[in-house]
Amino acid sequence: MIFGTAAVLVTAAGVALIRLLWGRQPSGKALGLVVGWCLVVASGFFWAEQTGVEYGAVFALSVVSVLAWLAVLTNTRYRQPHTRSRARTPIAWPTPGQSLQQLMWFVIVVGLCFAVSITVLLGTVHWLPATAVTHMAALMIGLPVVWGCLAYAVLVSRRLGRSVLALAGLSAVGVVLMALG
Amino acid sequence: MAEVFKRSLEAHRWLGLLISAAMYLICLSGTLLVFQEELTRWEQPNVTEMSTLSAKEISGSFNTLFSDPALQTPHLYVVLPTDAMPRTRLASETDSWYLNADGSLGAQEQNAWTQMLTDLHYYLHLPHTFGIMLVSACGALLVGLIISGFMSHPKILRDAFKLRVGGNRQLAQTDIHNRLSVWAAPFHLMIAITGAYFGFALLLITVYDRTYGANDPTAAIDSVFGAEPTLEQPQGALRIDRALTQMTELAPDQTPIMVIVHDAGTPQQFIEVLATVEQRLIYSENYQFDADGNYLSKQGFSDGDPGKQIIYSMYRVHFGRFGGFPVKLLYGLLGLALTIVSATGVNIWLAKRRHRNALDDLWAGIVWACPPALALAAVLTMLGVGAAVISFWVAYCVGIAAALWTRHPETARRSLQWLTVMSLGGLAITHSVIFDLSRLTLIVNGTLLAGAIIIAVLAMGATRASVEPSQ
Repeated sequence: MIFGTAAVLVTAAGVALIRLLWGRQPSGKALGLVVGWCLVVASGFFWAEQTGVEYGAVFALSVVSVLAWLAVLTNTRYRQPHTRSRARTPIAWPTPGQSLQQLMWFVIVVGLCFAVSITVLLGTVHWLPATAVTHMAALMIGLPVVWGCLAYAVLVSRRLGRSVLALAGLSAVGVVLMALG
Repeated sequence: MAEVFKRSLEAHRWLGLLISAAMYLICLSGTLLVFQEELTRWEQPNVTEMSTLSAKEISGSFNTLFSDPALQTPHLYVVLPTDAMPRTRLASETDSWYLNADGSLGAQEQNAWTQMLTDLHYYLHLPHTFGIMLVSACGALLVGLIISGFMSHPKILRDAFKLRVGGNRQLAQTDIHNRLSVWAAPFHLMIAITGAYFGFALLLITVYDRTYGANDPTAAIDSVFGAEPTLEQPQGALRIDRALTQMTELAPDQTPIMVIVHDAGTPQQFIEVLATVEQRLIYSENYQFDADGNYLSKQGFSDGDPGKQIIYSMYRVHFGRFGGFPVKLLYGLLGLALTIVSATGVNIWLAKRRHRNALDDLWAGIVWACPPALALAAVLTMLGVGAAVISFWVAYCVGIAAALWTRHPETARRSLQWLTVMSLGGLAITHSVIFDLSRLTLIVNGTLLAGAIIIAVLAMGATRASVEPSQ
C-alpha cells in the first residue's frame, strides 16, 4: 500500500508541477516541466512495485489522465451561457458527383488502407527475430496502428490518385518483403 | 505547417463523422460493460452468493445436470465464484444455471439486458461476423482519429489546462473535447488497439498461416490459443472434482475461475481448468485434464511464447478486468470520457456551421435517446415485457424520431435529458419494488439516481442557457 500511495502522490506532484508551470514565461519553466514529467514517469516504478509491472503500466497510463483532468478543473472559467441563433435550412444533399467522391474516399480509407496495412505488416513482421506466434501478435497490435496512420495520411493528402499510387507502392514493398521472407 | 493543421482537421472531421454514431454507441455500452459483473448481479439479485463451493458439490451437480443428453452441447462450463462475481454457475452453450450454497441446482440465469448491452458493444446488434469486424474497424479508425486530432490543433498542448464552460457553445464543446481527449490519449490508444484485436485476430492468424505457415488455419489457431489433447476414453462421469483438487498442488498461487469441458459426451472429452495468475494481465493459465481428472498439460499462457502472452492479455486490458474495483472505476471514468469525446466531436462540427438543419436534431436524438432507451429496455426486461434488443431499438428509434420531429435540437436535447432522468429514476424504483434490497442493489440503484440528478442538473443548465438572451 505504501508504494501505491507513493505512486499517487508522485503522479499528483508531477501533474501539479506541470499545471503550475504550463503557459508561464520561459524563464525557469523548462526545467520545472522536465521535473514534472519525470515525476509522472517515475510514478510507473511505484505502480510496478505495488501492483506488478503489467498492472503498473496500465495504472500509470490511466491515473495520470484523471489527475490531469482534476488539474484542468482548477483552471475552469465559467461564462454566462448564450446561444447563437442560426437560421434553419433544409439539408443540402450532396450531388451524385460529391457522393461518388466520398464513396471513393470511404473505399480507400476503409477497404484499401486495411488491405495495404495487412500486406505491409505481413511483409515486415516476418523479419522480426521472434517466433511465428509473436509475429502474429505483432500483426494484431500493428494492424490498427498502421491502418489508422495510413487513413490519416491518405486523408491529409486529399488527392485520390496520388493516395492510391502511394498505397500501391506500399503494397508492392510488402509483397517484396513477403517474397524475400 | 498551417496547411498541415488545416488538412489534419479536415481528416479528423471526415473520420469522426464517418464513425461518430457507431463510436458513441460502442463507447457508451463499453463504459457500462466495465461493470458487467455488477450489472449481471443487479439484474438477477435473488441468487445465492458464495465465496467458494466445494469441488465435490460442483462436480456432483455438473454430472447430474448434464447427464441429460438434451442439455449437452460440445462445450460445457463451470463458472467459479470470484470476488467480483461471487456466484457459481453451470452452463452449456445455450443455457445457464446458478448453484445454491449446498451445491444443488438453483435459478436459471436471466441476464437478457446485460447480454443485450454486451451484444451492442461487441456487434452493434448486427450479424456477429460482420458486427465484430465493424466494431474493430472503428477501433482502428480511432487510432487515426487520435493522430489526426493531435495534428489538427496547433494550440492543443498550449491550452492543455484551459477549460471554458458556458459562454459560446462551440468554444465550450471544443474545450471539453480537447481536454478529455488529450489527457486520456494513451489510454484511448490502448483501448483502440485492443478493441481492434477482437474482430481481426482469427482473420490475421489465417492470413499469416496462408502466407508463411503450413496452410492449416486450425493448427495456426491452436499454436496461439492452445491445442486440444488427443484422447480416446470410455465414457463416464467427468471428474471435475479431481481436476480442481489437483490445482492446489499444480498452481498453489493461482485461482481457478472456470472449468470448460471440451467435446462433451464424446470419447475425446477433456476438462480444462482456467486459473488467474496474480499480477498478470493474461486472462488465465489453462490446465488440461482427461475425463477422469488426470492432469495432462498446461497451455503456457503465463510463461510460454511472448506473443501468446500478449494475445491472451488483450481481453483484460480492454475491459479492465484486473486489479479489482479501483480499476473498474478508472476504466469507467476514462470510458465515459471517450463517450463524451465522441459526442462533443460532432457537436463542434454542428456548432461551427452557420445554419442548422435536421442533422442537428438527428445528432441530439442519437446522443440523448440512447440512455433512456437503455433504461426503458432494462425496465421492460425486468417486467418480462418483450425482448431487450427489440425494446432498446424501438425506444431508441422513437427517441430519435421525436428529436427530428421537434425541429429544434436544444428542445430535443432537453426533453430527452428529462426523459433520461425519469427513466433512470423509474428503473431504480422498479428494481427496488421487484427485488429485495441488498448492498449491491442499493449501490447500483443509488448510482442510477445519482446519474439522474446529474442529468437533471445538465437539463436545467440547458434550460437556463436557452432562455438567456443571445449576446
